Amino acid sequence: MNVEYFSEGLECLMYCGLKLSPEQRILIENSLIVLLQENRFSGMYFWGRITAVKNDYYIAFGYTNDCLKDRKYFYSVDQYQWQLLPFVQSPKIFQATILAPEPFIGDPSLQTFVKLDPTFNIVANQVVSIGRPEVIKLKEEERLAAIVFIISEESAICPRGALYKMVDGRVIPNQMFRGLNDLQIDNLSYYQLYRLPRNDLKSNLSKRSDYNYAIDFLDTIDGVIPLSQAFSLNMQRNERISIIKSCIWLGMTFFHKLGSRKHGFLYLGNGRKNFDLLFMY
Amino acid sequence: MDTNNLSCQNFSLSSSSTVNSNLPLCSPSKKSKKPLTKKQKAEQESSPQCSNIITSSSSSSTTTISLAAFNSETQFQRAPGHEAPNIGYELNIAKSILKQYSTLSGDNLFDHISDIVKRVVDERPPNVIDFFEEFSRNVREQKFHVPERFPPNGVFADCRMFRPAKQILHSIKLPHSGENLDFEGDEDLGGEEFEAELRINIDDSMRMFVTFNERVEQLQFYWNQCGFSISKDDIFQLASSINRLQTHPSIMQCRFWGCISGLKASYYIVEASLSREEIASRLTMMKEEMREKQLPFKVRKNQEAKPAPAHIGPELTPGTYGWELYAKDELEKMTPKAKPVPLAEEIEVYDIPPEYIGNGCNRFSYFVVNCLHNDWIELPIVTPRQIVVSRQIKKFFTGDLEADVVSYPCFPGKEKHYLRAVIGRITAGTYIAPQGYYRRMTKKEKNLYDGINLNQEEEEEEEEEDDFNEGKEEESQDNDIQLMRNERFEIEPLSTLATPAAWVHVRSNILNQGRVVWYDEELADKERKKALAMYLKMRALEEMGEELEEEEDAEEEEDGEEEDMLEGFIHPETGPNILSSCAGDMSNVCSIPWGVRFTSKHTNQKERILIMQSNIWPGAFTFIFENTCESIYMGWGHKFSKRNIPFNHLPPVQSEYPHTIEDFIESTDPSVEDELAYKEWLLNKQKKSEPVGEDLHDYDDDDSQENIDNDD
Repeated sequence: MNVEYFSEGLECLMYCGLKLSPEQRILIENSLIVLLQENRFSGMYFWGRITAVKNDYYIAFGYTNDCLKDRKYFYSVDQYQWQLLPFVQSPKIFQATILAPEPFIGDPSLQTFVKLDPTFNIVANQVVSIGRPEVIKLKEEERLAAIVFIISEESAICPRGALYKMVDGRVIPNQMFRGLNDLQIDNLSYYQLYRLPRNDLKSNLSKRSDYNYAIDFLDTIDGVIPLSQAFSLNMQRNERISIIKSCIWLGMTFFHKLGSRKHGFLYLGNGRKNFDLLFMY
Repeated sequence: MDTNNLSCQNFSLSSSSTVNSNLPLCSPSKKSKKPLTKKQKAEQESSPQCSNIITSSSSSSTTTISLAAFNSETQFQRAPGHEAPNIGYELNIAKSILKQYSTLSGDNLFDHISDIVKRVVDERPPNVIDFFEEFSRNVREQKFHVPERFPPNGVFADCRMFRPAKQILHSIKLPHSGENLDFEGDEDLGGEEFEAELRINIDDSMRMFVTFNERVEQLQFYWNQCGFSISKDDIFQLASSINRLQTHPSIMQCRFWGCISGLKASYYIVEASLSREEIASRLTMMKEEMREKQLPFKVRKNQEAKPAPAHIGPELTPGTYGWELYAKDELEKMTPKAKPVPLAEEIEVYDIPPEYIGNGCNRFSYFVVNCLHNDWIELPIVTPRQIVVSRQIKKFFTGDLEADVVSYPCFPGKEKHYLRAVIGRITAGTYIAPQGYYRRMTKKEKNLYDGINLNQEEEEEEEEEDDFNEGKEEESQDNDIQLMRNERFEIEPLSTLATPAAWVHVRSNILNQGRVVWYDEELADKERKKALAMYLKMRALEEMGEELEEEEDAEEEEDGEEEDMLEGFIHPETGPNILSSCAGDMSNVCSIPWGVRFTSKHTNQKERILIMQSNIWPGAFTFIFENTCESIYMGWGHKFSKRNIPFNHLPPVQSEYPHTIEDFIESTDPSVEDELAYKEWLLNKQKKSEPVGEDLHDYDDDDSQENIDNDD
């Protein structure tokens, strides 16, 4: 959620039941503005909170050039001192993050050991060999970075037209964006995932007849698997705000105001994926 | 505009020297063709900077341009009698290229660009160069909405906000609604008085038992401080709709329980305790129903022991070849040679009975609503089975109370039952208060609460008796009580409260069985068997016409012994008691069941609020500030699970009916004649049996008749 309209955004996101207490709001908003200034970002966003046992983690991100590619994530335990989240590359860390059974503790330097699932290999002669479950050393800071990355990859949303791809390939927020209209706002195909597109550009464009190269390069959320079960859309406040909640990452909420450029997503949760999703409909 | 204008002129003047040389030439011609140039000016108001250039150029070329502007077919013709390097001429050519009308949309680029320029200058959008394509698209899009020619909305569609706005207005019941105006003077007053009386009736005896904080807007302030609440607009509506509920005569007290999100809509939930009269009236109905349900099946269905057979006579079961060769008399005596058709054996399953309204899990009623301007809907009571099954499944709420719950194991009920079961579980698990905030009722208060009005003397006697009796009862019924707010409670410093050990559960724990008070199934089973035996004996005796009093007495004695025996080896299930500490909470999925948070860590130390948040039920919060302590739930209604919840597997496929090869023998189908013969034989038989069965209409008796025949 953009820091530009921080309080207003929080009000709109209250439909998930949670928000920030006044002290948190003041601390976060102002410290993020400071962070924006210090790092010379062109945009600063509050990402959300991951509940831990002792201290909660607050996450924010900013960008200078490209709002998809060079996002820099920060975390904070005390809501005003922000540290850069490490960039995680190892797939093992991601695997361990998904599997880690214990909740977050609240100490970034804490190290835990996570047992991965055993691997099954089918050897040439049809014999299945079971690999020993690997044990991974997981630092909580890395785990946090990985979970933030996964969550924002899978469930961060923006309305169609909010991001604009320039001729040189950079993606920036669209200044001309005036919001979705009456007919578009309750349609899931008008919302896009806030990440670098994974689908082919052609397949994304061919989804709609009025395609626009600069806008429709992102993946839309109506194609997220499980189809039509991954997100739930509600209209609130006299049907003027659309609220989209992710069912995969419970706690991820998105709002968009009808006919206004204001939109944003916020994650307030314990960082657990909903693995039971397919049984829950 | 002016700046553009100037720049254009500057450009035209400075770029080529030929213009300068032309200028004096063109001034006389300008005079002679004045009416024409005026006309042109009128035509090309949208592009004044260019028209200026045109007027400054030679006259012959302007005419060709004006032609080109009107007629798209006209190609730019070379005007005769002109030197080739002429800036005015080339500008005109360029302009006419721009002004070519599109054969598809009828637009031309010249107008479009001038529109864009106009918009940019008027609106001054930031970084327009980066979004030029988008901007240009917008401009073109808006060109289709021509306000002069068409009304802005040719067809007026209902605005999105209209319907909810109207509903909200309707729900508030403003006084100027017209019809009610006349009545207001007398009727309303009367109604109010009546209501007030009712309230007073309740209040007098029950005021001291009101433990709920009913002031939602006041609580909203605290919730806001804590960082969990519903939105500001909604809270007012919530307060007014709770007020509507409170004034209902059958409700004693109610409080906002919380919110459960659903996929399509979320539920706002209010917890209420019903007034004593309401409970009493419901209780009688419920007791009747329950007694009925607990009776053995046979006793319930009085006479119909067996379903009527489809028709009389031996079934066409295979077994004997050539049965049609036998004589008819012999056929009647024959019994088919085959295994009897397997009949489904009726196993009577009795659910554990739900607790009575006003007791245990059903102590409080819950009212839900999707939109705050709708009427509250009461949820049904919860049965132990629903609680047990709801623990094994995890579903999203859809927002529709009547939706089916598709799950394995099959959930007995609709979504409203599931919702009620989940609410019950959450409340039992997460409703906490600091130690000493609530207290148990004294005996006197209990009697008052139960509505027993006794004289002083009697009361004393009663109390003595109670002491005597309740020695046993106290232990078993310990959990199922209503607590009262402790008047002498004093808040400790928050730092001492910031540990689960200082907090206690103030709602009774629900046992694995799904009840608060343990229900002895085996005992109930015994009783049912006894009842059935009694019933059968009664029927038998009725028929025989004998008396049964003596035997009954004997039986009772026997039963007494049996019960004593039973009590020895059934251990009632136990769980943590009410008012047990939160530090003792156990969970096999979550090692740390409670999280402690302060609303203010750094700044406002004096007025900070302590929040206890449950990790087992994410979304359940309890806050305490001075003498206000409230619990609320805001979430999806899902219990915490480590990875995924262990769903039950489907049972293995049932084995087929055991059979040998002889059970299925192929035989030729009966011919038409055979079938006719069989029918005739059947008819004959029915005719024969009619005179006998005239007064006995039951098929059973016919059967017995037939059996006797067969035996012969």
